[in-house]
Amino acid sequence: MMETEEKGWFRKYVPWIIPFMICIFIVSMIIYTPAFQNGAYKMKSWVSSYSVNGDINSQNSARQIQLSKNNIQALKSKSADLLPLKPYILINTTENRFVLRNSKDTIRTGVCSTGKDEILIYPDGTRKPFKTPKGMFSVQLKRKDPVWTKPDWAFIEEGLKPPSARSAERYDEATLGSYALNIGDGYMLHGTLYQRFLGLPVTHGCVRLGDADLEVIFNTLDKGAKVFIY
Amino acid sequence: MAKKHLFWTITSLLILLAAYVLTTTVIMPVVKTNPLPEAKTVRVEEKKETNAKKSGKDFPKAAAAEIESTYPGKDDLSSLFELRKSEMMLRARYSLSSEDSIYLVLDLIDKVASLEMKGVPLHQCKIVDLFVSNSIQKFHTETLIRWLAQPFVLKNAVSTIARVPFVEKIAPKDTIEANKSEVLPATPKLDDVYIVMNFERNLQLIIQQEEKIEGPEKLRIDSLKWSFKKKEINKSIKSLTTFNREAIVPQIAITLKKLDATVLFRALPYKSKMVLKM
Repeated sequence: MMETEEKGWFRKYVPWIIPFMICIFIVSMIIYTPAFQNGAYKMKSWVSSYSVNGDINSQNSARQIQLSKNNIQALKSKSADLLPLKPYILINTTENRFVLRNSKDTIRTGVCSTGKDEILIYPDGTRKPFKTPKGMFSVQLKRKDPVWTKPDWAFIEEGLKPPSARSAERYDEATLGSYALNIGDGYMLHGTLYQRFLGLPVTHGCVRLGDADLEVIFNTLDKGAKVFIY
Repeated sequence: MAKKHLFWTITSLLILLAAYVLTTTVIMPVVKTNPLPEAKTVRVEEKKETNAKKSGKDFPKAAAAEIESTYPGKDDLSSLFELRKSEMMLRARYSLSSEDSIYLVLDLIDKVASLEMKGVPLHQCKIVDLFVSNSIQKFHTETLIRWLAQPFVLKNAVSTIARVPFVEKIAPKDTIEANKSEVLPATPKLDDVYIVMNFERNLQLIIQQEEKIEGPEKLRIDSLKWSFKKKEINKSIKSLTTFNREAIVPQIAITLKKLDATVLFRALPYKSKMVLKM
């Protein structure tokens, strides 16, 4: 009798464990999965350190709208003031193109040659990278008919032994073309003997320009003019 | 007999419900790369309306007067929200102009991606296609403003192209070897682009190319995409077993021309910053 009662209890309640477990599964999913939670969940930790003045839900919205409009206007005018007043040049190293601009218009665009992204390994194991640096530079010196003082790598690249620092072999009057604009750290915007390679990444870090473009750039950019390389 | 039928009916219904919940919370969000199923920004007056309904008041009659007197109109609020968003974006952009590195400005409204430095636009390109994960749209308005208020800093990036594609060359021993090894320069071939950039504050930016990818490159990119998807699936499954899901990763995917994508990626420094306009 007792055994039958026990079996009856088992048959009555145990099968309900399955739907009960499914219920628990559904509830846990509802509670813990992100889909049912606020989109801002776990956002608080990202934004707690940043403060924004005022509250968007506050009642004086007309005043806030005006304040926001004034702030936007002020920020826009401050941002506009950031544009250089004097002409400047943008150099795109991926496309090997330049854009000469002033604060309002584009003065000239054209092709140039930038760094060949090569590492020359010297016989002693020294590694010399040839790449055009990116960032903002300024014209530090303008030279007409520049003479290039060849560095060591210019000889090593040709399989020659570098001469002494003051050797006449170091001075080259033709390679840099008619003009050169120094932008610091030994980098220049200059002309080239190899006009056919313009538009290709072939230089050792300097920016090579065609004769006509170089003349316009030389005459447009003053000392201190900004050079943006990206 | 009746009890047996009831049991199986309830069990079947619960199984169906469980399958539905599993699909909507785990499977679909992973498939669509949307961590949340539906996006909706709750505005203040909607909340007010819901509260009024909950408290048993007849809405809008009972609450209308109160809302009118104490709360601004819907247009006012949404224009204030938009203005605050623009203001924060301009503030973040202006703060970046004082730094010495190139940064990215993503304008998701006008669909323009631009590189800037010191407030000077260097390169601008059109975003051909755009996907914004709905978790971003679901953020509460004030939270979204706070989220956008500061520039995003790049944590790490995985890409199919090298930032600086260096080639090594051993110096020739003499002039004969130098003359032999001289090769005429050629236009460099642009590799196919697929970039995943992970920013601080959990934002993930994906840059892909508009041009169709074919051949072995496609396999490489597909395997990269699959590895990310696998991670998401694992996260979702893990969340079910541990009841602790990691923070949602809002995702923005933009499609650009291959050349533009390359220019953007190569110009940005390793710890670059980004401003979002949306």
